[in-house]
Amino acid sequence: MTGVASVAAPPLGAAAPGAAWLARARRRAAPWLLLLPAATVLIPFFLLPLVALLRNSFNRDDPTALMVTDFTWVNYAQVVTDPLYLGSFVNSLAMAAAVTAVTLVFGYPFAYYLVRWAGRGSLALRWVIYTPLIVSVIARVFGWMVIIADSGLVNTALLTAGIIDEPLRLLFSAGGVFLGLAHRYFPLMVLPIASSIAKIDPALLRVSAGLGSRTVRTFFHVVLPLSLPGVVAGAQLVFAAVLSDFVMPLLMGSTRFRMLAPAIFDEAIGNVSWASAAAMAMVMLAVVAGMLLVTNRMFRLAAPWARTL
Amino acid sequence: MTDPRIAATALAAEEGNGSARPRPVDLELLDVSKSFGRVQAVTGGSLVVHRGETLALLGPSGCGKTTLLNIIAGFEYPDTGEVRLRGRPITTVAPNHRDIGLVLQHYALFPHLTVRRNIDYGLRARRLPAATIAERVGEVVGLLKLDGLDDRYPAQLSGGQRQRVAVARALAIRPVVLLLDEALSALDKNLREQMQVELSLLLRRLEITTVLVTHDQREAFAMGDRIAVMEAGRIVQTGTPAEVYARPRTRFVLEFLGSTNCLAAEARATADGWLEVWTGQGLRLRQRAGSVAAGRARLYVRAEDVRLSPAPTPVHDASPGRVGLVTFLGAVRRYVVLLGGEQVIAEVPVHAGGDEVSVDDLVYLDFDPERSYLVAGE
Repeated sequence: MTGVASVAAPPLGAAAPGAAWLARARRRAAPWLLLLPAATVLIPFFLLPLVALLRNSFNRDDPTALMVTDFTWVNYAQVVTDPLYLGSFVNSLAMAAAVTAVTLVFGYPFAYYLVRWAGRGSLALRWVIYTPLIVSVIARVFGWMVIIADSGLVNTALLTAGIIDEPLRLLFSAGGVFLGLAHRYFPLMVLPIASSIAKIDPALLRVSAGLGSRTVRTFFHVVLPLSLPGVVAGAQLVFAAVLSDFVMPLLMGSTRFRMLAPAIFDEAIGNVSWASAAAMAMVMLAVVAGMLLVTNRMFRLAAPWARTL
Repeated sequence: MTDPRIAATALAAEEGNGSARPRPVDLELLDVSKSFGRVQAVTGGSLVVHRGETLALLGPSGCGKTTLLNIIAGFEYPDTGEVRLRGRPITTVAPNHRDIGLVLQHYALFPHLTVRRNIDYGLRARRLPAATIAERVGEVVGLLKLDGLDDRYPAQLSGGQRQRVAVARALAIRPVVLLLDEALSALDKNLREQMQVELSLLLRRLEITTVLVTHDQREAFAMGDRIAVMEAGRIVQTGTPAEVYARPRTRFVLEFLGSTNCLAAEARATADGWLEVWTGQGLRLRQRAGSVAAGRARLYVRAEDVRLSPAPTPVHDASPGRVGLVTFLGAVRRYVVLLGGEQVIAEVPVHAGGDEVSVDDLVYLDFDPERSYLVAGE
């Protein structure tokens, strides 16, 4: 009822000061303990090699002695001046931009449909999204080969229909790599967008309609801005993944369209130039980090509200 | 307050029929029904809301009041029946062409827009000139005391401020009808009661036609000029709060409004056209024979109508009850009287005077038979 209960005060100073200190220390240590399992793997197998790689990038490759300890910017100078290296950078950046743009254009409506309309079919559709994540990349590449090889389904169909006279070069070309990458990373675009659309309170859409907005205006003024965090996350994931992808260019690409990760691999293993390979890897890392910083900054400017949530 | 309209409403309540209402009709529901699959959500709902009036749609959750609100707002179209806004049929008009202001339970403010942009959202959708928009925003900002909050985001506002922004946003479009869907229930008690008063004053002053949907009887009474009580998809009774409270038409309305005692009773017709009513606990009273036939029945009497007496009373002259619990509730003292295995609650104003009654005292119940209700059935 409305009575005020008298609460017995805990006896002050009952516990020894040492015990209190221990309790506080435990409370502070708790979050770090949770990180411990991850740290035991990440520090020796990721962070330390990365530091070693950074150090290597300032060493000097020697034709006779594998790699000589040094401190030189020579490798970086080579990366940004040599047209071969530079070319693979430009190719990878262009590929990353193209794949990001196309997966966004196809992925956004897909994600929107998945969340807003699909209903019971949604589960089946989600599996369509998840399969590329589940099926081995090799299996998928062979799948693509069956479809786009010179004697594959597409070419056979086009030849039979008399639309073309000789097979189109699809596999082992930039186009083939593009298809493979777009397919592989489509889920990375769709899933963050779908989750951010799913988080939008349906009441906002009703209020928007009630205030006189048609569906199209509601989309551009409510749904799109509120799903921007998902768009940014999806774009960042796809861009970074494509930029550093190794398997697709290797299996589906051609040496006439060199991309970054295979180029680094060739440099390190084929040419045994560890230092310059390390420099290329560090530049790639810097580009990805820079891209993340710039897009995060752009997002903060475009969506100042996100920080208030 | 000397608002003539308040006096008129009070007069109508006195008359009990509300016949003298010259005001035009803003919203009309004619025999509206809606079912979802096999569930009949609303059955034969008819309502008339006059200009400037606040109608409270009151009912427990699941009674169909939200469906009715959705039909008014245009988010659902009824299976049968018609909705009219100022005489214009809008039964299947899309929500964005209705000019109905919406305030929802959790406000549904756009989290990505500032207070100003939330408020002018509907005005921009109407593509009004910038000067008009600025003028209308200034107007509602002033009305709802939101000055200085223009550039805040909803997440940076208090619950009460969000509530005001939601109302401001709905009023900015100058709606024909304002719909409040449990609009105050997310606020805590004190703030909620304060907002009830403030909103009621504002709606009266601006003569805004309002439909308030709520499950809270106190809120419906506090804000509604008239109440429509809903039960299982039907509007079972409509009237001023005083009418509905004094003359509940169904057992549901009776049980839903106020705290009511219910006793099993037996009714027998007498030669002079009255009913003689007994309860197992020694209560005996006479009631006018109305719609209730003789036989098993339930006798309802409200806690605030029950008095306690140390001596036998006209309605209770044998086997007194024992006071089991006395609770001080501020304005009233609540007594729980144990009477032959039943509990009867009496709420007596603290300042009413009378004899002090304490736990374990033997008491007789007293109440005016006119203020008790007899309902046929077990």
